[in-house]
Amino acid sequence: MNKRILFVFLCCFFIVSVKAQLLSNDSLLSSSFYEHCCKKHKPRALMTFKERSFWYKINPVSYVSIGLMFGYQRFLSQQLGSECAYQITCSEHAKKAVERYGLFKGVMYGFYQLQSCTPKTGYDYPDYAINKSGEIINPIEINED
Amino acid sequence: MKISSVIFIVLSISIRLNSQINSEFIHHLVLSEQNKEHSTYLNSIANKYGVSDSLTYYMVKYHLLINDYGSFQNEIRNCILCFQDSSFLNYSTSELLKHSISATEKFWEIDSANGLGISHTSMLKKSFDLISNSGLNKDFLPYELKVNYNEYASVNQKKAWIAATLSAAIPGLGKIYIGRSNSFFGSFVSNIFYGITAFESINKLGFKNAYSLVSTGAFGVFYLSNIIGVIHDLKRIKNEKKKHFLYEVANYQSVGFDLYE
Repeated sequence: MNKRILFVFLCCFFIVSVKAQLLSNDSLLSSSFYEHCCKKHKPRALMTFKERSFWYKINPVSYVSIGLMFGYQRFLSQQLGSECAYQITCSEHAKKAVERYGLFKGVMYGFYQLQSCTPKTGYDYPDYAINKSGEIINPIEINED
Repeated sequence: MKISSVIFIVLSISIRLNSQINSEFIHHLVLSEQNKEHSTYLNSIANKYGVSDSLTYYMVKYHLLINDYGSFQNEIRNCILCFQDSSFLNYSTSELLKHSISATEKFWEIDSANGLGISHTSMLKKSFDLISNSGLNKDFLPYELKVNYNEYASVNQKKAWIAATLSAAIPGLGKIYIGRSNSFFGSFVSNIFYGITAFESINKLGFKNAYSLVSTGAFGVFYLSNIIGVIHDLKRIKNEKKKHFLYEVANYQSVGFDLYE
């Protein structure tokens, strides 16, 4: 009986010590390599509808679309862990396009980007339209200036 | 002979001593990137001796150096020397174009109103006119810029309705037409996938079934976005190519010119 207790005690002792070592290693690793190993999510702005009309602001359909987009970005997107080929991700682009062009056009432009979002898409763009991380620079507006 | 040389030396020394602006000092400030000191020095001269045309010339150069295009445009109106220096004019329009196309157009207006209109003979202005009127002669462009112009011209000829029709016929085909051929596959596969899903669900479950409605809706959104998106994308490509061509001309025009040489 005593031998069994001693055996369990030794096992626990080793497990704790091994675990302690792991914890110290983990903290060392996380402090040293966190910047490199963990993907940082891009900031995601809320929709404001600043330049839209009063009727647009109180339209429930707009808020349903915002809610769906919010839910996707908050819960689904991070779980999928997929890399977007564009600088402004497809969901963020759709959100901003809805804000800028209205619900119909915004959704259409958002889905168009989603269809175009493949690893080879970058080859269609000139060098100056690709940022340092290799993502395509995709402004919402066509700035003619 | 001796007297004239002595007078020349005395005059040149006196001119150097009495000159208000020390260009070597300004050159040193530019090389050591001391912009605040640069601004303070120019302002101190303005306070001490008043604003002269040569000082305004240095002020304009300073604003161009720090990319303060608003002050640059305000200052250059009063600078007669600036409009006489063709290489400086070419350089400044090239730099201004990288900031804003409309600001460059305003600059040309100022040149024709206040200056000698030298910038109107520049390659950049001719290229600008060529873009608005493709019938003009393009022989002034060197070979490498002609390639860029031809690229722009070929994209500019493309019609939005053709791209939309092609996308409606075969999803993604419009993308090949506008020059985004590498993303054709994404559009084609997603549309075919949702199309087959909608077709199968309607066939097996009937149109009133919830799954059929959702899959048909998804297909409809993908299909429509494929058509509407390609029209928007064509506008973007035309704008991109126009800017690319003008930037290339601006770079070509300003190459080898040093603002403070």
